[in-house]
Amino acid sequence: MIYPEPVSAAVSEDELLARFILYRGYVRKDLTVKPEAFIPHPYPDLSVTQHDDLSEEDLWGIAWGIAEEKQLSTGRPSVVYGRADIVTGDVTKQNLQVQPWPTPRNRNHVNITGWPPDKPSQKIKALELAAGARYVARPN
Amino acid sequence: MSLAIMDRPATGLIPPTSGSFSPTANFVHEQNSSWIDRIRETNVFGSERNLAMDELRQTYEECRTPNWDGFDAQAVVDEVFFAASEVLDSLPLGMRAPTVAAEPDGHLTLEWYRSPSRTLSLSISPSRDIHYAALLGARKAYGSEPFYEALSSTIVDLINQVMSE
Repeated sequence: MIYPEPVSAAVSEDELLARFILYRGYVRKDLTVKPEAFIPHPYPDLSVTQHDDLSEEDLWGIAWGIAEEKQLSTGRPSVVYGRADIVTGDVTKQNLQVQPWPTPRNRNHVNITGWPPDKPSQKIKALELAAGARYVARPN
Repeated sequence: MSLAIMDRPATGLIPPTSGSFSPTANFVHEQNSSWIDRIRETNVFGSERNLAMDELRQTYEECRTPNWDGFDAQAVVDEVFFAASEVLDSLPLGMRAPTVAAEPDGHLTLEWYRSPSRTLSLSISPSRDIHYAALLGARKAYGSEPFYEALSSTIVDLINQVMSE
């Protein structure tokens, strides 16, 4: 994954951020999102997409693009199951930062930064983010 | 109300597993293990745990190659699978079984869940450390501890708090 450079624009507290779900085990049977989807690894930051002015179609287009990129790089099928929408204010409440970081394929790409290095502290933040997340299944 | 029957001594003593104990002690241990295995085969005590064990095997199979989550996740290695199996095995009889998943750093997770704000997640690492985090309404708890033969009273207590009515 290539992240050219961050930009300094601020993301408003009520802005929605989408974490695309490419592993079905991240979603519970009751269609809530598991905290595992928010653990930042192997990168120090968590990669999400700012909704901003994107239409649903645009958002899913970015997700298909990510899956396609993964499929090309690994040679294995990559499936988008859905996305977890979280509110920027819920992220900053966890003392994490929301840093716009556009990429050539996603001008709305954002990194959630400032994760603590130890696993239990990461987990409790991931649990809090998951508790406020809304799962949106991919369109058929 | 949950029913928990301890299947190992409350003292936390490690049961005999080799010939270094007396023949009587080994006999008692074998009989005890066999009795516990039979109870676990029953529908009343065993079905949930067996489902969790099946889910653990399935998750391990799905996640044993890198990038299983589409975001460059680390593979789950044998050591993690074996440690997670032991954790499941160590659950007191009658305790609600968790659901299983994996994390992008290659840890397997066991989750006891009632709602998004009432949940406990354990991560099992290759070095047999358990990292736990729990949301209990307005309260939360998190930390790490090594896993030996049984879950600590801290974690058992968190499971009971999450799953209690």
